[in-house]
Amino acid sequence: MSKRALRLAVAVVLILVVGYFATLKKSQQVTEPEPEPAQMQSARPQVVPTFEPQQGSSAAPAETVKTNDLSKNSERELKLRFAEQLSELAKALPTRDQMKKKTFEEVHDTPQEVLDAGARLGNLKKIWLATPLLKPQAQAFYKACALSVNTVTAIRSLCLVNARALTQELGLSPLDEAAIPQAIKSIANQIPR
Amino acid sequence: MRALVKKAAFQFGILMLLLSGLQVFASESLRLQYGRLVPSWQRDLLDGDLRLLGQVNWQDSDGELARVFGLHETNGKNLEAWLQQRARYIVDERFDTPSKSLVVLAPKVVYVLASDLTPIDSYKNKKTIDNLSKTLRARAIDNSRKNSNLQVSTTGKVMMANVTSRIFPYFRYKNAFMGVKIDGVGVVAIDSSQVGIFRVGEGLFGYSKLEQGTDPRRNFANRIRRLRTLVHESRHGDGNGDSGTFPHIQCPEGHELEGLYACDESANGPYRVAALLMQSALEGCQADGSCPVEQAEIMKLVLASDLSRILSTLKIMGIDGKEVQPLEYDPTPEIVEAIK
Repeated sequence: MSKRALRLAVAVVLILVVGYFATLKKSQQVTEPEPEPAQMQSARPQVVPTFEPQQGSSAAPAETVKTNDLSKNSERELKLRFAEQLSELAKALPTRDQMKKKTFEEVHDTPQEVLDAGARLGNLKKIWLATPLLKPQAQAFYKACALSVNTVTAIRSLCLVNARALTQELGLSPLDEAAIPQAIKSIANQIPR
Repeated sequence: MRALVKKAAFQFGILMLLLSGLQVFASESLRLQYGRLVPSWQRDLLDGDLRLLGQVNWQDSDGELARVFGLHETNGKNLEAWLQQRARYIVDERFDTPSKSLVVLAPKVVYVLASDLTPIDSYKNKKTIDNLSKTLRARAIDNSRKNSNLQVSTTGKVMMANVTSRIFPYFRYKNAFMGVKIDGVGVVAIDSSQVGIFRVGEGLFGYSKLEQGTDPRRNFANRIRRLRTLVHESRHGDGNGDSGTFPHIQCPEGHELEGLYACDESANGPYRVAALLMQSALEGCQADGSCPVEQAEIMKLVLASDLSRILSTLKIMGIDGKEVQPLEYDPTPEIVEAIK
């Protein structure tokens, strides 16, 4: 074997080895679970959806509706508990007045209160999707939220999306949207259902 | 003849190996470069976010994302390329740009597309756009230059700031080609407003404490939310002349953020690109079921929040009762072209 061929063979082996390790590293990055940062290692347990009152609110925490425990609750009790939760949620949603007190730094990105409202609304949706008999109450809540003039625009828009969807699903007469500003309706139109 | 075929096959094999090796390294090079003081857990999360970019089922039913981003087609690869053109270096939240961090690479250069005026004069002479008065416009741009490209969470922690968009006007003013020293990276030549150096702090990795799961920072919604912030800040590196860095303006009277520099005048600014990215991810993940319902609701609310700050489209929607054409800025960045 000539020297040239030997050099080529060595080069091929080197490329193969480097390529193999680079590919291996890349595939590990995609498939391996990412390590937990030190401060996050105290894992929080999975909790059943519930609405927590806003910090500083005097309202007591609403009792949890356990979606996997429906058999123990009568339909009426379930609806009553859900009504309490909706009432708590309505109190916890941030208002336009609260936003007006914010500084530029606090509102450049989505304000924390709005993110918290998103988590609350997400938990709400999870509940009524799992418990269809609660849908009429949820529809009434979303409708009231969409009409609430002092509620943050983004939240009103999301409420309108859900109110429209549930109204249609429940076969109710179409929402009267005359009192809802065009801007909120248009934002709602851009949110995927 | 046989020997020749063997030789050709051997050479072809080597060429293929070289190409595949280069491909591996090329995709590795798309990653962000981090300053020495950026904590490893932040790097982990951001690298994970960028990997997600190629895995999301991006949807763009009306083609708006592709149009506004200037993409041939909406997919992970093109979005990654768009982002990598703008988001290149990540520095820690304590990073500042004192004069000792700045390096003059060439004393006299031409800034293509920049105004001939000094930054301050150019702001003052900017003709009014839409209903904004000259004074308001000048103040908005001036103030946004100082503040708007900095995102700070409610807890006061830095979220993300586009360092380049804040120092670029100074370089332009000096007509100098300059670089920024980043510990652990070296000197980064700022030959365009798009050479993104982003200051990142703990605030970027914040989330609602009401979210469920062992580490909500790693869930789909929060990863997309961070990518959206990266896209938002990247947009601050686009534009030229008076609309350069796509500055935010004061939200108008009647808006819930009235008086705060948290709105966009243009319909292709930072809030719009962020909204389009979120909308695209939402459409895709709802279609293939890859985002749980509670996460999708947070994503929808973040999307609605972004949409509520785009005044140009809100006006079309009728926030003030009249229809106007959407205003879009020229996103072409300013570049350093020639040394005098």
